[in-house]
Amino acid sequence: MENKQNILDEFIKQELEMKPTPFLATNVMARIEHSRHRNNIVFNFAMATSVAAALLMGIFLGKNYTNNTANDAYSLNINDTHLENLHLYNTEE
Amino acid sequence: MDTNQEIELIKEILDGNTQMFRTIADEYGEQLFRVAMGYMHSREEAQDIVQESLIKAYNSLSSFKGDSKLSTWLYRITVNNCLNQIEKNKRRWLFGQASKEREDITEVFGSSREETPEQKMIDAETAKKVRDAIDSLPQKQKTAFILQRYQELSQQEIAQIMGTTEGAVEQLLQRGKMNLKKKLSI
Repeated sequence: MENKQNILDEFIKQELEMKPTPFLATNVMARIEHSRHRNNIVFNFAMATSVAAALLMGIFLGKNYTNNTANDAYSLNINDTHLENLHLYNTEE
Repeated sequence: MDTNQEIELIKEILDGNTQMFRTIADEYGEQLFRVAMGYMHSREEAQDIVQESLIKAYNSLSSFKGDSKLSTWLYRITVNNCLNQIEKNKRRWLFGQASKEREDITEVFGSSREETPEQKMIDAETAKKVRDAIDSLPQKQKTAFILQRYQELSQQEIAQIMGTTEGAVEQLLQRGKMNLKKKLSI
């Protein structure tokens, strides 16, 4: 029983003697910085793409725009005589 | 570092002083490594886990409310990462992509002693037996056992990390010890 406990204790003791690299914190910080840098690149790229897309869309819409405003004024053929034929109804027989 | 100092430090990091996170990595790196060693039994894998855990902690630092100690939160992240990695390793092993040999462990016993090749082989076998016994414990028993034996945490702290009661942790530790004794007697 004691022997089993010793084996277990010895195993744990030996594992605990292992130390991480002294550069653990440095590695973590480097990875964080790298990740931030990459995020910045992605953000800048997304921003640049959005601006470019907006510009292209503007150019495209601008080019496709046709002035549909009617230049020719509607000609109204108003026959004043017809409108003013009221005297027909007023005619007294 | 007390809780107030921790909260101040976290505020500073969230305000953009990223380099202050180094203080956390320096303070807790080794402690997290010990826990990761308990699960992985490999220096390289344990280091990777600790790095991943610290980066995960950095990325979700804004979600840390200070309800528990920072160390409790970090241990929780590390334990979850270890359990996920063990699952991944199992799947990899099942698909035949042999995971890298854990040479560290075969050198665990007798690394500091001069031994005959036969003695080294026996030591390696014993180490494998102990490792397998720990690995085969049910997940909760293993977590409680590792946190107690590798990090010497109190039952109260273990209970906080595991999100359970001290009584439950005590039971888990008892059962874990009994299981280990049984497994090591085979």
